[in-house]
Amino acid sequence: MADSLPKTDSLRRFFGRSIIACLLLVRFVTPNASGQDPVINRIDCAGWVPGTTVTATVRGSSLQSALALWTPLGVLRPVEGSDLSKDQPVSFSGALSADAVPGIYPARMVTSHGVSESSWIVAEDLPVVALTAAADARDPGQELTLPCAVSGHLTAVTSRFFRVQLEAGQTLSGEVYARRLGSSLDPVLRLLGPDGGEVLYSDDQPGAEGDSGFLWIAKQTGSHLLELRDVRYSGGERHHFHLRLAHAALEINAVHPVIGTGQSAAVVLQNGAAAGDAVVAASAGHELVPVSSPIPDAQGSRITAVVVVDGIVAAEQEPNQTAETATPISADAVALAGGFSEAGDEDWFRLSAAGAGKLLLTARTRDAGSPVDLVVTLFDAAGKQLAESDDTGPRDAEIEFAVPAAGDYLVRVRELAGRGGAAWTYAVDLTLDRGTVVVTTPADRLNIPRGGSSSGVLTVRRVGYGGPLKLEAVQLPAGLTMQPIVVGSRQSTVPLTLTAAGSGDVTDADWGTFRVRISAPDNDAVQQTLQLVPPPPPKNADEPFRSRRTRGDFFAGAAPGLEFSLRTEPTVLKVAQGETVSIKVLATRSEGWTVPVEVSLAAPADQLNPGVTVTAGSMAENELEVKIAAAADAGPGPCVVFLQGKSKKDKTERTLPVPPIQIEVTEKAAAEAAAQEQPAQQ
Amino acid sequence: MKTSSMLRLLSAGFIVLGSVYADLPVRELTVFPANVQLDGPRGIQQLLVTANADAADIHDATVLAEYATSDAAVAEISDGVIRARGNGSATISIRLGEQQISVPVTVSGFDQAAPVVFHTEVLAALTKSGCNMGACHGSPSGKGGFRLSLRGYDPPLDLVTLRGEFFNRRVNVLKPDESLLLRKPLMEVAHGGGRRLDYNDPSHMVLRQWIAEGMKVEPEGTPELQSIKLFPSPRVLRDGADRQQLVVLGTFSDGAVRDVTALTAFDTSDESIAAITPSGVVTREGRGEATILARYLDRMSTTQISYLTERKEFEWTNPAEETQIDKLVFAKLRQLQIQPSELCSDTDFLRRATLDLTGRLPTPEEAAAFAAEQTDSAQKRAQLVDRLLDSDDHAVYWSMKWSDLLRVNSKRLSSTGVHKFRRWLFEVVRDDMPLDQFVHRLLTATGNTQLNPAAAYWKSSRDEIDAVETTAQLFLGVRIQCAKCHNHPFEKWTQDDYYGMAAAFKRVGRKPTGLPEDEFIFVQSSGEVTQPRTGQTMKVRLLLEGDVDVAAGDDRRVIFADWLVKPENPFFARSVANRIWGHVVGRGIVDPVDDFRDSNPPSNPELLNYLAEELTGSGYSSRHLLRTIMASRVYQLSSRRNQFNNDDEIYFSHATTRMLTAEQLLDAICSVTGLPEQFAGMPGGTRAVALVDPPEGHKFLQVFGQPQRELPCECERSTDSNLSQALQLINGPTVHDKLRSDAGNIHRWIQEGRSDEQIIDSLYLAALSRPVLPGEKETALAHIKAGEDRVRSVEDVAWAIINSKEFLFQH
Repeated sequence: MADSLPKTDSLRRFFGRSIIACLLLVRFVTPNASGQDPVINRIDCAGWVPGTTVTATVRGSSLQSALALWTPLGVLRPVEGSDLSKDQPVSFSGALSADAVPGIYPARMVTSHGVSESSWIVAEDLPVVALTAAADARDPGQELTLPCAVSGHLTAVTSRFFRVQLEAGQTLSGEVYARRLGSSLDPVLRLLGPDGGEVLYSDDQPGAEGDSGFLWIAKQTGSHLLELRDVRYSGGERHHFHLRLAHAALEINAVHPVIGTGQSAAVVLQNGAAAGDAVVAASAGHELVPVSSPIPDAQGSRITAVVVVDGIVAAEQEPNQTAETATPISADAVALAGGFSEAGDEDWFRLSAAGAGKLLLTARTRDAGSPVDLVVTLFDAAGKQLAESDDTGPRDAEIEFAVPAAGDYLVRVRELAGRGGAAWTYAVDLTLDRGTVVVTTPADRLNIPRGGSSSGVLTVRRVGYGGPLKLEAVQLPAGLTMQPIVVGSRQSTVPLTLTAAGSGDVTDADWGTFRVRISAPDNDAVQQTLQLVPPPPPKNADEPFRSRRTRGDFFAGAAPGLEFSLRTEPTVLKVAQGETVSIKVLATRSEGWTVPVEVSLAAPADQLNPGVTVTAGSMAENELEVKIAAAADAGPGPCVVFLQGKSKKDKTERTLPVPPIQIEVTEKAAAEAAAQEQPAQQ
Repeated sequence: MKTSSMLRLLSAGFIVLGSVYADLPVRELTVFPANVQLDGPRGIQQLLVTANADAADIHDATVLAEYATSDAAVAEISDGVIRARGNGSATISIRLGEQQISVPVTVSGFDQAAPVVFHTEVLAALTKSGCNMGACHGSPSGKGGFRLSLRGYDPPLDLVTLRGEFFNRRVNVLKPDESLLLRKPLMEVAHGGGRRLDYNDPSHMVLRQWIAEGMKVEPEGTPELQSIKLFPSPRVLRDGADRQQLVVLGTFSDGAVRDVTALTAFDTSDESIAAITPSGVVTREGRGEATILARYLDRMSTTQISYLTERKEFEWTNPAEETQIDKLVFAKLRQLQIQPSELCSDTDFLRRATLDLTGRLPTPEEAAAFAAEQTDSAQKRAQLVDRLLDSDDHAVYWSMKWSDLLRVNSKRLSSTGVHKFRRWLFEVVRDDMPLDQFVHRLLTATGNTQLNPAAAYWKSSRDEIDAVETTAQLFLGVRIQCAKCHNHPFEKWTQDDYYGMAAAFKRVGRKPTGLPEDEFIFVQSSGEVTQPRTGQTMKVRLLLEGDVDVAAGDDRRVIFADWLVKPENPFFARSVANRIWGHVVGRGIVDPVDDFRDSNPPSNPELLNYLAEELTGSGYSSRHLLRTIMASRVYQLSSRRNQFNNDDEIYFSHATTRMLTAEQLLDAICSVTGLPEQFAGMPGGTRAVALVDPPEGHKFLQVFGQPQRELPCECERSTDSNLSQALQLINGPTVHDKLRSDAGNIHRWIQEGRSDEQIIDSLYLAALSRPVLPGEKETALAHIKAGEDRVRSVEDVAWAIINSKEFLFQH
């Protein structure tokens, strides 16, 4: 069942320091359902105003059998009387929570055949205005009274035109949300003065994924015409926008893109001046959450976003442009944050290591909505460079360094192109003097076939900690299950598998958000951090655009059952060194699916405990014996065997997961002793 | 040309010349060099004897003078060439008419061996005779299995080839005359390259002696060639002075200066004006200026010879010199006896200026208003220029020009990038961004190409090689491409220059940003350029200044860009000024506008320097320079020629007639017919000059030469006329459909009830920016009345106007 928007304090109580809520897995190897997942191209809504009942129309594909439009602000249901049997736009209606912080939130479509990717909406507290036909042409253009917000979309080779009456000296500010909402529109704004001449042109704002914004002071009194269009004059169903206009500066930036739970966010205007109080929306952690700040003397708020992390974020203290003036960072900080206020700025920080161990520095910029391309450099106390990083593949900079001894270490950060300004902020996740588990996964959703399972891969990286990890789902919808597992110390590729109950219509119990808790069973001091991997960028501007924005919780839903499903008996077992045990992989097949199922490992075999081997094979009927053998010197301890079954008939090919098999490799002596005890007890 | 034939020709010429010069009053004789030092038994010196050196009737008297030596045992002279005969001193007496002059000669080292020097003589001989040119044995694969380095740029390779290849079968040191290396170019045996040597010509003698001496390489420490100088300095020769001997002196590393004329290769920039023989004799072929290029090994020197012909009827009309441009151009014209045309009409000026600055025709309203203005013509023209420069149309058009040169197409910059980059260029022109800042920003840009469109320059140029060639051509006006593989054959640029410049651009990094079609340009901390031939790691080299050390961590591009745009830089301001001049006048002062080289000098160096000074003095304002050029009488001259400038294509004595470019023409047809062209993906009414990307498959634009923006060269825009163009205009769908359309002007005017006269008036005003002449109207009316279908007949009149030269050409 979808959860309501949690409050910040309760969230913090729920998740202590040693655990992490992360849901990240969900670029799934299994082709979810049968390619019928609903796709949202855009959501038309006059305004997502907290505390009101809204009606929204979803356009896209595979929208038949719609059940709900989920947002953290509330769940909308199909409007009564809608024909849900066809693949056509669906209108939803529902009430939104009154205390939602204005800003960007995800929205997902739920159908009986699966859930969609996130689309994004803006919870708005400016007066919302419906788009009218007058906006279709320069003459007349839609007259607007400020402040206001208006949403719409563009077709190819069209513009939207808005008229605003201004007095000379009056401020006009505008910002377009398009790319940040996953729209394919690359907006530009053009303002024409009363004489028809162009007075302003706004294209890309830093850190806005290509969206536009401006702040301008009118030079003449009269009617000004604002044109909004795509930079390439393209358009279509996915070219939607949300335009905000006001007589005061709208654009703000968080002074630090990352804050710790319970910490306040400071926001500034583009010129660096303080923008007033800021309210941070509640967060599941490690996601961009809205931050708003009221516009003085006007209805509505300025909006931006920050990433909330579990722990203390240490802020830079200027001046810190040299090693000598480096900002000291306390031992309990989980991240440091700052900004490059002007071009060419660079910042220094001082860390104090208590002893030899691992140091991990991971930059957060683009994932946190900052345009900075961060370069992180590590020095010893004498100033000798130890390491430097710009990018790590598609991700921001990261340094993993084996600290040889206790002492001070210096970290310098700079912008690769030397840029600066209010928007040029950064954060660096920090791990020092403790172990860390870093879990990465591209964030998306999981559609689980009825009676079967789906899985997606978590990549688990241990830094300064080499032990097993426990993974369990929290607040899973009632219709879905996930067996808690304890993965072995070598297991870094972890297919996380959820199972959906076998029959009946999809109900609210079969879908919703959930979190994954990861803990180190034997070490509370191990810190878990989450690295979200945003969706890959489109290859070109003609492909649908996806915002880099990610969530900290996850979404799953039941989907129609597939041609077969797999399970094992047992799911938990022990195997002693030198022994071989068997499990049965059992298949449930739909009628007609009589082809063999090839059962194999779904994760690298060399990640199992040393000396453990798994022999699977081809399942011609509905049962296959799989042997798990532990060599005489097999490594003891827990690990999980992840299997999958692949089957093909005609043009349909399926690769489906088997629910994980938890095994415990025991030492032979211990196993013998246990075996002796048993007869004695009997 | 064979030596023997040359001698016969010269002899004949001597007789002819003698008869011409018989009437030459010789008031003064000068000789160059004034004294001669010969070293060794092969010492030689070509003399230059000049009659009346400082007068208008200056003549080369080298072959006319009579020579005598005071001691033939020391030095001999014939035909103006002194040869050593023994150690000692002698005096050469030179006499012509009543005038006499003498030259002291000293010979030393005659009794010492003077073996042929491989590096400074053999290679020069091979180059002069053309053996190692690119079309022959200097090609990468050689010819006939015999490969030499192109123009001797790789002496070690040549040495191995000549001495060691194929067991040395090409030479016979015991019987040098039997060497294939000699017999083939003498055509004693079949030779695909034809005759390249004559017996005992200088090249033959050097090669033969070198073979006979055992093909030795000179010892280390043998003086090397440092430079050459061509004499005389630029000279203007009038009627009767048809011949000019040249002398080339080479300066060597030991300080010695020797005559290297015999082994120097000569070229002329215009054979229709001046021809040149292998021995360095320039002869008149026509009227005008020619640059003579002397090449010896990899050194070059130039001089200019001007041939003037007295025009008896010519009388300088002393046209008004409104600006400094006029003064400088008219000074040249007067010298060359070229009469400038009259001033163009207001109508012509309106059309010309509008096309040059905005790429479009004047609207009928603009044409009518301009004609009606009562202010002084010069003032209203100046005001028109100001209005056009301040218009967005100017920014649209001139950002298109920059887009052509900067290769703004969607393949290079992506479909999003072309829009953003073009917008930025539009703002650059609209806001008159100083051109030094503009270029500096391009060359040093970093960051996201979508946030900072200037960085797209480095998205387009993907490596340092492309960057060198593009940057040099665009902003230095130098085509340095040839120096990539070898020292430039006709210019002073070396491979070291090429790769040294590349070192400035080597460290440009590029990476994706996570946004579609966006790229991040940044400076890397490492990356070096290796000269492929020498293996040397190159420092950043600034042309004509040398290598510079760049501190670690500094952006080498900044060093280069700072040097490029400083006012003292000899390339940038002149190159940009020349380009702007060429855009509006139709031809560069250096032409092609991006081909500055010693062998392609400016047709008016003083004018070019003045324009460069105006540009730098105005803070690199292109608007200021345009205003300055268009305020000149030179710019406003008529395209109608007179008998004294009919054959002038170089010196700006009249306006250049040139066909409208592809985009101008299409837009012009659209504006006359009232039917805009619909371009895919662009709003209706978008003009062709406003397109951000050459549209794929647009037949009309392609036929009329629209460039695809793959080259940073004005030359990519084809200006040649061809049959396809004619067919497009006569019978093509673009013209036909627009004329025939119900939504077009003609049909609309007819429906509005306009009379034939009114429609004809409107057509002429729209197409030609002028009222129709009575005769033209009469012809058009007659055609309409004779036709069975009024609409078709009116269309015919419009068609005829569109197909007229007055419409198709800018004039």
